[in-house]
Amino acid sequence: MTKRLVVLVLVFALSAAGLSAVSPRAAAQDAIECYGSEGSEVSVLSVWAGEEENTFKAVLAPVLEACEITLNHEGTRDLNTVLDSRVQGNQPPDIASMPNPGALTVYADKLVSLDELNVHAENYVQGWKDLGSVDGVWVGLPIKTDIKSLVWYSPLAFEAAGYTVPTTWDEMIALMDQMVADGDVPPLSMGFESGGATGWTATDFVQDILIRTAGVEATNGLVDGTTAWDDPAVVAGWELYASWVENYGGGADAAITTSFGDAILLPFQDPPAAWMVKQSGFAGSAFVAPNFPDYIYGEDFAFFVLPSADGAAVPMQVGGDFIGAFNNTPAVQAILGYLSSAAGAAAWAASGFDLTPNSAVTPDAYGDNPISADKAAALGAAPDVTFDVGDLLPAGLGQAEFDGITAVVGGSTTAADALADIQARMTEALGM
Amino acid sequence: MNRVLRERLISIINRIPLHVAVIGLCLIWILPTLGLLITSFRPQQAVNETGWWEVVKSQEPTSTAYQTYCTDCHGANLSAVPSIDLGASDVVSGFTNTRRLAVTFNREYNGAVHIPEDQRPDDESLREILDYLRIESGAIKMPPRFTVNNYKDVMVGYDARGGTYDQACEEEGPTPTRSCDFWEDATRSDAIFKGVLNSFAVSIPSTILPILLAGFAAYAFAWLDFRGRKVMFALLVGLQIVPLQMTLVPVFRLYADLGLNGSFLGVWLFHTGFGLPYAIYLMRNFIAGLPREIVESAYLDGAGHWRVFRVIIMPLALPAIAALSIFQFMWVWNDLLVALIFLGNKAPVLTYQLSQLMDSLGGGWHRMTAAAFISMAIPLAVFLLFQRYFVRGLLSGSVKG
Amino acid sequence: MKTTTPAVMRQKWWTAWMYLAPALALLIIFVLFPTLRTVYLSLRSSDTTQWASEQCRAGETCWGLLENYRQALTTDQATTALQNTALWLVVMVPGTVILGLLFAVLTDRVRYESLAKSIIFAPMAISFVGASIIWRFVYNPDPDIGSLNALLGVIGIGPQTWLATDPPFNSMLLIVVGMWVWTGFTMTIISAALKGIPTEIIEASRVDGANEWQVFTHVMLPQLVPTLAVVGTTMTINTLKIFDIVWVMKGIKTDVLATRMISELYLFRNNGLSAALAVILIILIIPVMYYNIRQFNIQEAAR
Repeated sequence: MTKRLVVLVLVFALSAAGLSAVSPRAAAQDAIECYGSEGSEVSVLSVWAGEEENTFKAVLAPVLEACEITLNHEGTRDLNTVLDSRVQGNQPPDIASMPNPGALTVYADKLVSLDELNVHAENYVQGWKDLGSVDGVWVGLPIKTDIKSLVWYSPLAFEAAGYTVPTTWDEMIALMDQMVADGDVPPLSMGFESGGATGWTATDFVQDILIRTAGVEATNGLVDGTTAWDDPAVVAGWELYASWVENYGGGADAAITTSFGDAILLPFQDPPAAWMVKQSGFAGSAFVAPNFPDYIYGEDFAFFVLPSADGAAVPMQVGGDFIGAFNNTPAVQAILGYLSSAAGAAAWAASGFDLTPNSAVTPDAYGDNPISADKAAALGAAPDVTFDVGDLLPAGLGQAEFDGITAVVGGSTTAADALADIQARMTEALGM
Repeated sequence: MNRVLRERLISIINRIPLHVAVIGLCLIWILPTLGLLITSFRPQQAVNETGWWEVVKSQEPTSTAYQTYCTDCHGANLSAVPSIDLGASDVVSGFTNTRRLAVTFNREYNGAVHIPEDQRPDDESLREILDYLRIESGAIKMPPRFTVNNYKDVMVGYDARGGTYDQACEEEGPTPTRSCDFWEDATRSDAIFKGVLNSFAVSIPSTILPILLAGFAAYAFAWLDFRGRKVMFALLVGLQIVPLQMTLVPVFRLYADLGLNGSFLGVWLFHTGFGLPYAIYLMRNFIAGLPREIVESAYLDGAGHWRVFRVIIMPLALPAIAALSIFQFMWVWNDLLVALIFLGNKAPVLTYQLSQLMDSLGGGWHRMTAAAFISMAIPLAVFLLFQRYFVRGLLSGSVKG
Repeated sequence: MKTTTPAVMRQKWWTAWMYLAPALALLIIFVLFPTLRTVYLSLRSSDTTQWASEQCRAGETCWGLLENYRQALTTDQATTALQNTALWLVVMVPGTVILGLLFAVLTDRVRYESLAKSIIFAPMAISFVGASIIWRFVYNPDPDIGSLNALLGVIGIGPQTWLATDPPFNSMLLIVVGMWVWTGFTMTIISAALKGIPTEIIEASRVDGANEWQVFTHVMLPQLVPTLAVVGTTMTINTLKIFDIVWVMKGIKTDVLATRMISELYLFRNNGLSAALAVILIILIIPVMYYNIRQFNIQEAAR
């Protein structure tokens, strides 16, 4: 549990370190170190299948080629099941991806400390290292990050209807009220169905509301218990979200049964079935672009950051994937060394697979990919970042949060009751 | 003669309710599958936008909306405004969606708003105008109603989020992992073809082995005496409930010690062990139902247990064996979890490869539906093949009627 | 005392074990041993490092070593899962057995039997995940995508958000999917047994002037009873284990025991509670075991 406390210090200056403090070293591609791994094999287990797998392999290609490493990659959406069996059966993969820091805690005693693996620690700010550490040992290399506080919309649709992008909270409300008054298409597409994980997009949304209504410190306090889950401000945030679903999001029934993927597409259908969708950065690159191949980013689809009360920039909500090593082999060292190097950062940025937390990245590394470049700029403009609370909670509580918000939206319980229940579990988990 | 005809007619009429019932129930059963089948043959965008039953709707664009809103200025031939010639494909091809058309209405042309706010077409008319312009100007060809691209993508394992294998080959040409020769790509080592072979390699032994072992055990339960028969039989019933997930970790540990992880043998044994409780249960109930006289007379003729088992019991149990084979084969064929954990990508089976077509965010319904049909074909064929053994009259002549 | 073996078929004491040995060996390794481990884990804490009783806190209800069972049986979530599992059993088991019997008997009389049976069987071949995809399309709230809403639209009923309907109606919608899938199974087994009824018996009763209904009730049904008992038992087990359909389609409060078990195992990381739920599943099967022993005795006595 101590790790969760460390996370409270989430006020790390990723934006500054990540983008403005560009090291000149990054320009000169450092040579790939192989640590004598030539001719060996490495097994990697991740959640990335399909096109994501291809992208990941493309990022790794230079090191695999230079060191003649044979990659044995398995991508599966059943990562939990497969990883669990293999780790408990004492045949873990060399490297595994962890979709959130919580997973690192589960396998902490089996993971190799990154300090022993020739990782370029200097390329990661302390905040990211803390997130990837359990009991003070750095075991999770932050590999990919995505920004979450975004609202996707169609600039052309806005122009045609005479709407402008809101810059303050009040303008946002006014815009949505205007949209409701103008027609029968709801302002927000709020569907959040996602099978067993139904609720995660709702909790992301609520966190962005809380950052703007209760403040970032109170929001981060939910992770370690300094803010009670049944605090009136949190209850108000949940209630506000539920009321938005009713008033601006087409109603609770539709929100619960429409998959989050379908929900992303609704504002971009022709004719549109909603005006906006609040969703992470992947929405544009992984959903809108491939489903509407002839749409142009910046015209047919774009994003703005959910505005704050006074329009000032507020901390950006981010999520992140980590990778951990179960074995210390030369090939593992070569791969982690490469991924954490400036060259690895550049390759990840160029792949367009969300953003890289590696601070050796240069702004122009995203140059070929306008969506990634704009996301990186939005991250740079934020004064701070705050990690997805659901991903930091002790095991099971993230799921309890998903289930709680789903039940509140569905009307089978009240926000106050659901949050009191989560608080009770939280107290138990923290051993307070 | 007349009477025969009348009787036949009556029997046909009597059978009408039967046919109505069978065909009606079949229709209800097939309707959801039909939706899946049609979806699997539709282009990606159409799947996202409209229901499968709308494939029958006319796609012919109508000019009514164009005439209402546009003819006055742009003329019936679309080319009355020379600077914006709506009959030219390069002008119209820029209008990729109705929003692009709608924004032009706000803008001013020659000092006047293109279309005053209160006279603008609604969403539906806008769509109609755009479709009309796109087809008339030749900016796009009529999108096909049906396509085999989903199946082609699945067969060659093309998994990029947008586009199709054909498009990629046309626009980018061959790459190191893609020759763009369809059959070559479909049969290369990491394509679906190999997955089908691996699935057979897993499924066939995993079907034969449990049925064979269950046959022996069921014979003992039905025709032999031993201590603890009833208790063990009750256990067999109970063991069927054990959830698969609870057995994964201990078995994986055992395999790690024995070096069986990643081997076909490990998967065969797992499926056999896990399939046995049900197989023995079903076989014992069938075999025990066989008439006692047959077995007794065979034994009186001097046959031993082994001979009775081979020559009498097994052939008579053919319908039960056929039914078991169908289900055991199908379960193993459709299994993803066991293959994922014990084989992984060492010998990727079909379900594993199909799951790879869906990325972690779950995109790609159009391909998923095609994949579902490809993977369904083999179990269905097995069903058709084996149900021939559900033949009447195996016991005829062996008992006095 | 009547023995199973015909008196003339003498056997050595080890003959039976020869036939049983290979199956028993595999059963012990792959099923029995993991089951015993599950029972043990159900008495352990969530991370299995200590006994469940050590998690008890002063002043709170605790069942000591059986604490996981308290959590599995008495919380709100538990009640929901138990109620839904009961609903599934009550509807799905008789539903699939009756429909399967109906199909087997009806298709037996038509010439396109093979085609008709393939159509009913097809949903099984698609796999549960595939079936769930199909029905997500059917139940989709958008009438442009959801065929059920489109169908109702034709007769003037507005679109419904099916999977968000109140319990237990939403569970019923999932049970419909379950029946659609599993009827192919019951039909196949019953059909195999139906073919096993000697033709002479059926023909004889027809010659005696029995109509088709009488042939069914007086000749076929009695012969099918053992098979129906087998199919009913198997369907009870399959229904208790039902997982994929509920997991993939997910509605409000549609959890059943098996989905709770998997949630606890992989999402909440509570190994002890998950194992307790698995043991509860096994305990629920005891009445079925008892029933089968009775059938076993009846069958033996009849020979």
